[in-house]
Amino acid sequence: MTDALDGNAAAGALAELFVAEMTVAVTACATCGDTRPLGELRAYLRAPGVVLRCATCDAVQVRLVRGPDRAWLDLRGVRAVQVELPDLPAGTG
Amino acid sequence: MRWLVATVAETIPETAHAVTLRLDVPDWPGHRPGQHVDVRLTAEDGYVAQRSYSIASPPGADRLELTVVRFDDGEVSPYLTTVVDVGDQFELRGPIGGYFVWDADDTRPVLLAGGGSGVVPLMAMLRHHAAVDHQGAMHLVYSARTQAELLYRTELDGLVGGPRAATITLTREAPGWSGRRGRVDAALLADAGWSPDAEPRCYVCGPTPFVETAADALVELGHRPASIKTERFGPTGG
Repeated sequence: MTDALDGNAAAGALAELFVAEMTVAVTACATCGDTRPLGELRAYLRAPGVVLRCATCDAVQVRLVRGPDRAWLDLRGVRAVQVELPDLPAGTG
Repeated sequence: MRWLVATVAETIPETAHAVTLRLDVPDWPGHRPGQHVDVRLTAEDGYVAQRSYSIASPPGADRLELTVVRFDDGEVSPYLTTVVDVGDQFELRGPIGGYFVWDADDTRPVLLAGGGSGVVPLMAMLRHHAAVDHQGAMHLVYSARTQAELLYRTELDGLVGGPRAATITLTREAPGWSGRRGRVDAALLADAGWSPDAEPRCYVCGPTPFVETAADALVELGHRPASIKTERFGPTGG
């Protein structure tokens, strides 16, 4: 398992899909419930695409494959994602 | 995030295997210390190779700097370290990443631990710390295999002093070296860093074995795992 990097290594691939900075987003693992920033997940970049595994139970949380003109994102290993956003203007929401 | 065209303005040899590229990147949106870029090279036949490189320059510098270490069997680093010349262009996108970053409005003490080329994003933090004359303490622990592989040696001597300190350790034979020897371990981190009571922020960057050893040592010393941020450089680099 020594070829694993951190979720940081997937930041560029994720930045193509998401407006928010996803390496600081917190995922809840669908398998064990562990919550931590996506930047701390274990990243495997040698697969055909990006695989992010839980740093606690090693279950697959995220799969992302980039084709020439589209991407496939499989999040079934994630129960929920918490994303930091700028404050809403006062009086909205 | 758009791909931008970078033009090489200057190449600075750092060691026999490492070069700093100073780049002009029109429309560069600025960055935070610790962020990286993706570099994309496209061959004439359309083959594309892409790698991530940490940004070495601090925010606000007039040029973007990447320090690239050559992996002999790599696809990208041999080009960037031995072929590329002033005036050459390649594509990059960034800044990327928001996890392994340090912001100057943070007043807590900072411990930086870098192994090999893992020192590059930490150098952006240290340079920024000096540029804004930050009064919080920032200590770097940097390990390299040999004296000849040390990056930024001369500049580090000038950056330390006051709230900034650097401890260098060499892990291999070091004739004529009077500094520290051996790997970064709990004893060295305790010596060069802070007690957990000071609640320092810890940034650990390097090859996976280095990161795991240093991060485990910090936890062993009593630092909260949430205060330790890591970035692993993989063998897929190159």
